[in-house]
Amino acid sequence: MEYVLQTNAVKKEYGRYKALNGLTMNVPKGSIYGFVGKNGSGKTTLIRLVCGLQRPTDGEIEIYGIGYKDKAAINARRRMGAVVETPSVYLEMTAEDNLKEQCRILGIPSFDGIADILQLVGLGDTGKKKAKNFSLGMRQRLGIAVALIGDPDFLILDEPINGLDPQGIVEIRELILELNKEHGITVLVSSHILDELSKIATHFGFIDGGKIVKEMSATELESACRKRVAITVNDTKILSRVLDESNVEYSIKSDTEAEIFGETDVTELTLKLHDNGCNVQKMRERNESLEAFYINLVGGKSND
Amino acid sequence: MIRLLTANLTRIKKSKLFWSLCGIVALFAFIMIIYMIADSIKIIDNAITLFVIPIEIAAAIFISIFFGTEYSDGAIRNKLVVGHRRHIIYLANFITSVICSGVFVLSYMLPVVLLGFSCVGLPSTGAIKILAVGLVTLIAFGALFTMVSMIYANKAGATVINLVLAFMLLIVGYVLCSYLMQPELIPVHGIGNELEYIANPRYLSGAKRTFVQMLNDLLPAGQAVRFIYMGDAEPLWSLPLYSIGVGVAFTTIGAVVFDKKDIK
Repeated sequence: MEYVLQTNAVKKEYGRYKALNGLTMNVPKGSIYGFVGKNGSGKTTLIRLVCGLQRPTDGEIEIYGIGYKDKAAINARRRMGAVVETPSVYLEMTAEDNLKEQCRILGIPSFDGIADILQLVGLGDTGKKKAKNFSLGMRQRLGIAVALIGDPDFLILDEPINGLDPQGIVEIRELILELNKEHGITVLVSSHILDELSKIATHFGFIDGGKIVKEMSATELESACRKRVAITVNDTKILSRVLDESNVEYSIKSDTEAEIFGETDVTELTLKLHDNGCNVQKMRERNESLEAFYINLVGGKSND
Repeated sequence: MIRLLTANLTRIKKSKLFWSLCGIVALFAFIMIIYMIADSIKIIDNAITLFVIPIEIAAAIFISIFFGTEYSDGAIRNKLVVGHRRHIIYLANFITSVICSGVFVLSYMLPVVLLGFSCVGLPSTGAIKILAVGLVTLIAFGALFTMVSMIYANKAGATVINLVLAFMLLIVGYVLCSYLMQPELIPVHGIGNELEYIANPRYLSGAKRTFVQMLNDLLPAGQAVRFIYMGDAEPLWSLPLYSIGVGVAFTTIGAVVFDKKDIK
């Protein structure tokens, strides 16, 4: 698999405080990588390091396979855009002027693509309105528009839906999906709202205490959070045969334990197992929400 | 570097604050010329020797707010994210501050040249020398204000620090100049040719005088005050060397600290 961003054992210390404590993560090319963690877990710190705003105390950061200390890292950075915390826009300028300013910073001589970018983020009709008069959602979209100047193929968005109303959240979500699917941009999006990320992300990295505690694909996460029945029997071989005959998806955990996914007719299953000489000792329904999954992952209250 | 300079200068071109300060500096010079005309003064030199002080104050205000906005609006991140090196960003900002001071000088000189030269008089060679030396003094001021603005990310805080520095340094420059201008001998009694003199206890001599002279010449504000009170007294041509030294020192310190700075 090709990766746009890889970090290896990255540490960042502010005095005695360890904001990142050996963080290792891999962002696959073409993905929407949901970077999930509670407030203060180190999400923004890592993003600052990746964007070159700060330097790691230790560890390696590679963008497109180029280390951050490498001279070629500058060229690699030209291929990325970012909105870190608040949108980085000049409040006294119009949306168009902000984009023109970024063109100058990047040395892009032509302003031809600006109208298209403004249209893409839904700010095509803001005219001479200054950014200071924009709503939070509009500023967020302007920040993304600025990050899109230079046609990047890797976009980093730090908490892009913070403080937005439901309409704004939907707009940002749709914009991220469009950028990923229609423009092929790899997006790293951080948030503490797992439910929102689960609607768009193709991959997840769960951070806690400055470390990635789990990296998984959306399919793996979905399977981890699926509705299932945990069953304990005296022989899982018989259980396996019965479930195969019924064409039910399941997972054998041990000689006596298994998990059956999806809706299960408990009475019918118990009768079939009884007919095949298999005793059901315990049966319990599990329906883990994304939040519950995350809390279990990071250890819940003990980590607060 | 050229890209960053172009971006900075385009922002300046659209800055209301910048053009307002240009207007204020020009108005200051204009009022001074009007007073000179009203008082029938026939020497324009005073208007020229004073020029560093109003421009220094205008530069302190503008540089702090202009670069402070990069931090407060977060726009400095856009430069770093796309791979501009920190020392290049710093250097581009320093050059921008020098260009701003240059435009302030032009604004100040506009009424002096257009109105003053025709209605008051032409400047002496000494005043022109001071103008040339003063331009280098302004570069040192630019380096100082850029250093503060780039190291201290708080826009309001940096503006206050730069303004306090601008005025404090002027006061220090004034005090140092007043020591240096003390006469060696002072009259005690008598009249006309019969005056009797004694040694002035406040007159600095030897190593003390050399030290105070050097300190005054090192400080950009010391130079600015010196232009007013001591004119083109020698050693005038060593002052640009001091200014360049001070400017290089401030720029080096600022660039090194900015290079290591954690930006949020």
